[in-house]
Amino acid sequence: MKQLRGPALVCLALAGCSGPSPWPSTVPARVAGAEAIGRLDADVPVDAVLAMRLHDEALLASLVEAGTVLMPAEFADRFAPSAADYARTVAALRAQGLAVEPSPSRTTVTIRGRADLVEAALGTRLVRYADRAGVFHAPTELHPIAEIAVFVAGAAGLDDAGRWWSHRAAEPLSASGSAEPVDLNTMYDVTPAVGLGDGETVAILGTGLPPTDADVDGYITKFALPANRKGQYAQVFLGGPNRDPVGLAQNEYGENLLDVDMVLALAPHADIVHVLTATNSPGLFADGIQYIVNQLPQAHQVSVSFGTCERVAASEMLVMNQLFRQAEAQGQQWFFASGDNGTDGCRDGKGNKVLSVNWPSSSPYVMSVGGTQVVNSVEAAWFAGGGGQSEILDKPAYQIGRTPNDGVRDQPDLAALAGTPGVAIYGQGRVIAGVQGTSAAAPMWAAIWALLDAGKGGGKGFSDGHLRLYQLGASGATGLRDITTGGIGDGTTPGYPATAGWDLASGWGVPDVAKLVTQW
Amino acid sequence: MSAARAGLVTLLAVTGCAGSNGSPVDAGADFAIGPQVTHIGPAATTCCMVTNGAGQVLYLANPIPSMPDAQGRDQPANGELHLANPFGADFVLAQQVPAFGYAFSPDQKWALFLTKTKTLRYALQMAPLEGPELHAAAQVTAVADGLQNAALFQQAFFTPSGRYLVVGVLPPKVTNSPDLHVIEMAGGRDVFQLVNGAFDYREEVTPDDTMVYADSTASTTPGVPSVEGLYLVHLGAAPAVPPARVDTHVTNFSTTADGAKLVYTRSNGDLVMVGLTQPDQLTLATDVTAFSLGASRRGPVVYTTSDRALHVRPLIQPETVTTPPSSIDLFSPVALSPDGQHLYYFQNVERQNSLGDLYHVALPPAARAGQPSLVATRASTVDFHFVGDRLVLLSDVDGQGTTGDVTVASLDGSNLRVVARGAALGEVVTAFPAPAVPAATGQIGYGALDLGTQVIDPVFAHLANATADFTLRPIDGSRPIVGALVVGRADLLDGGGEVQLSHKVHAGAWVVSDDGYVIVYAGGATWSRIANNWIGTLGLYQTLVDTAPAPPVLDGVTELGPIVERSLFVDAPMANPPGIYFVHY
Repeated sequence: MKQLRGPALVCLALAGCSGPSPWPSTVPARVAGAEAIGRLDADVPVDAVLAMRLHDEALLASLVEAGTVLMPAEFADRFAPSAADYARTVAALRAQGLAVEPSPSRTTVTIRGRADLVEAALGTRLVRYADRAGVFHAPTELHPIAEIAVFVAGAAGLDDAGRWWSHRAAEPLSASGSAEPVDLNTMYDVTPAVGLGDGETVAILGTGLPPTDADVDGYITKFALPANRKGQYAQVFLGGPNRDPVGLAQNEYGENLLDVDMVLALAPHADIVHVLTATNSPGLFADGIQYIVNQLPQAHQVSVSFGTCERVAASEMLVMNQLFRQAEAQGQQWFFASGDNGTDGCRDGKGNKVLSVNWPSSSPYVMSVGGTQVVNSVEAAWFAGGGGQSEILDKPAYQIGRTPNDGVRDQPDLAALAGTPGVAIYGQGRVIAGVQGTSAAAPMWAAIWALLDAGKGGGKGFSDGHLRLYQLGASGATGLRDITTGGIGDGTTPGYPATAGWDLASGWGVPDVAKLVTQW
Repeated sequence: MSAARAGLVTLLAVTGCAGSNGSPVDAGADFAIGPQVTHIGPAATTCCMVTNGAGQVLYLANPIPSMPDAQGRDQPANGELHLANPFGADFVLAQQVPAFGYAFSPDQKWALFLTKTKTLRYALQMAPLEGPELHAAAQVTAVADGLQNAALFQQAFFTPSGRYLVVGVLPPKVTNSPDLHVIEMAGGRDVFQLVNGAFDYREEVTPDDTMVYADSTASTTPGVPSVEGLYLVHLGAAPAVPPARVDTHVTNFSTTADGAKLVYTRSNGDLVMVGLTQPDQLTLATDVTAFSLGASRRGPVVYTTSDRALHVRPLIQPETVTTPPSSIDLFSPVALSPDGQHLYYFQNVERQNSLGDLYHVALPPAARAGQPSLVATRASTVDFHFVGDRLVLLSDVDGQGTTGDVTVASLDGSNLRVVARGAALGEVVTAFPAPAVPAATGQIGYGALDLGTQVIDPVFAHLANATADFTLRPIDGSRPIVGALVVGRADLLDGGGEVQLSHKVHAGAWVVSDDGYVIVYAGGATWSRIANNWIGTLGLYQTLVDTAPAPPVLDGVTELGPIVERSLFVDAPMANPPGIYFVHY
């Protein structure tokens, strides 16, 4: 029986948020290697999130296993504390002099207040530490007052041990020419009528250093998006803070920025749960996927911008496909970037001319997202976008008669902007322009799926996404704008051109969201 | 006995038996003669030892920590590769060799090592170990180019027979997906190759040198898909006898320990068994997501289906046990007790932290066969040992997969009890110390009077209250974990205490002797920025006898080689003089 950890592990991205904090211990591991240098000043403002105890977790687990889609309100009614118990907790916190922000689902309580008041309420001391990476603060073990302890399962956000500064020195380029949110909305016909993603949750799976609050706020502010980071953006750290080499984690930091920004650009009202594993491998494609499938069923769309060569992944395919199949059945659609090496999915280079594709984007249970570029104002297939034929996975039913008669899983399913002119993102206080890759396209489609779900799925997700997509594509519906120029390759082996209808370069093409929502 | 990575060691000593000469064997080492410590090789900072027992050692002198690669991944240190023996002979084999880019052949006749080429990749060289001297002219170039800046064991493996080395080699202008080459160890001849990135697929070699491997048709024609398949080839007959294809669309496979059967899954979920020695084929199950033949690879086959039920069946008989759906985590390892009566698996697996909730299932004919029961939560998936009729595991593993509590239970998971806390994960080792068996003399021996072994109580050793500091990157790639080294005897199982040998020892910087009677460790560890590792003072402890022998005097120790016949190599880069030492006690 799966054991849902529920919102206790969700750390809203408030100032000082560092990761999951099992109750009652919220002492970050970093403390072990640090030297205490004093108490946090009493008047320093502290934000934290308290997670409420859920009841009947066995039933919750069984519903998840059964693929039952749970709406947030339904979730609250069946599993969250009663309204009376929740009110008692809120009152107890307010009596401690704290500002309290309840949540509609009654699964969390956000508290804000002076450090000394938070310390008193939660029975802890907020201590400043110093180590090789700098100065941070963290709580000692928590011993909250009884009125709080009885209903609260855990706390998060009491330390800033995980907020590490990136040394990635990406020089800012001129933003001119890069696709900004307004450009992307225009390109893909995201009209006011399709909404902003209200009520939707997009999960992003990543690893490495997380975006900071300032990074996310910077993108929202710079591009005047109607989004609210504190209310919408949450980070979940699986396995603790990053423990990969710093250089690797910094590289992945750029990826994390890109993923978040692309979702914000197209679905600015959608909640984003950014799940970050402590290690690249095996964290991403084991713990990360399993967590989102089993414990974030409310996320009906998931974006992943990581992948690997299909030929190294055969031994894990059955297990992963089982998880993706479960996700699809419970109305959770996964979007994977198809890769940035054209028909050389294994990134071998010119010495190996074998055609290859990326995994998990070749899984028949996920959406494989390829790339486009804009050439002379025409959107064409991006030469580096991943596409091709699986060498191990059979053709899924939804592709029979729709894609080449080759007996295998063909990809990509869809495409979005990945090449020229690139997109603008925000990090470390600057706009970073010209960012390219199908890593941009996958979160764009996850955001678009959120708009689609909000508009047509009743916010319950689609368990037949592939089937609908291929039926729609085959019907020639204008909600999918066909890409008919350009193509993909690797510069060595002849590749695949974009053609009328589905093709191995761009799938069914890019969205016209306004029409897609109407025609879906 | 595992070499230097002992974390928790269970020692089952044998006493009371008579040796072949009829004299009793004592239960401890004889320390009448003080330990001998001999410095060998240059006085230099050293690291990254690979030993041939206590016979020879390969190591790097003046190693340089490498910069991360373009993706930010750690690269190994590199340095001047030396080969030395206990008598002081020391030879320089090559420069700029990556850490652990070297090994001894299983027959101990060759030293294999990487040398940098003009392409900035590496060649694989073989230096013969026979004779007192090494000359460049005598070396064999097994692979001229295409190995990578990584440890040798990360890009090559010896076949079980030791006759071949299977190695991944990048062709020119290929940045990923190495080709597969098979090197015959008798002379370094490259006897078999598979191209187009074949080394990226899985392969397995049976004791009779049949290689079972996945590969694909490697299409270069757009629109014509590659087809992945499972093949087998007898390396002794290759390439004259070409490979044979077993099946296509194979996701995972394993051979039985005797090399007679091959079990595999297809991408459609079929679990299939075929004979390797005689043609037969049997579909064992459908809708399978994962399977295991167990650590012994003798069966039964344990597999999971898409409803996450666990199934057990002998290889050639009907299924014996099926658990309810949703019993098992998709990423769970499975284990069988030595008597084949108990099965263990995990739920809620966290792979990056190597933990999960441990469950037990009794197998027929037990009364409650097939009924899962929870044994321990947050149990280590990599520390799982059978000690007589007990199960030894780590439970309550922390959130970073660093430490857990040493826990003992009956084989059915009952009588669970924590005996020690804070042991480092992944370092549970079980040893069965016994007096060394004298070499056969051709004379008739009378052996033990009762012709049986009398198992005495175990002894435990492990790191306690261990902590990790992931900001530190030891130069030898070891895990940045330190803790107190403690030892407990049999009464530990019933609530007895432990003896602390040192308050701080680096994980891996302690080793148990081949006879199990002695622990050697680097105690009082402190981080050295010069050595880029934890250094400590050599200590020595007798596991079964309450005496404290005079330890060898040696400071600045980082690495310990395996102890063979009371001898070991020690890396002491901060000793005076620094370098490699040979210790005999």
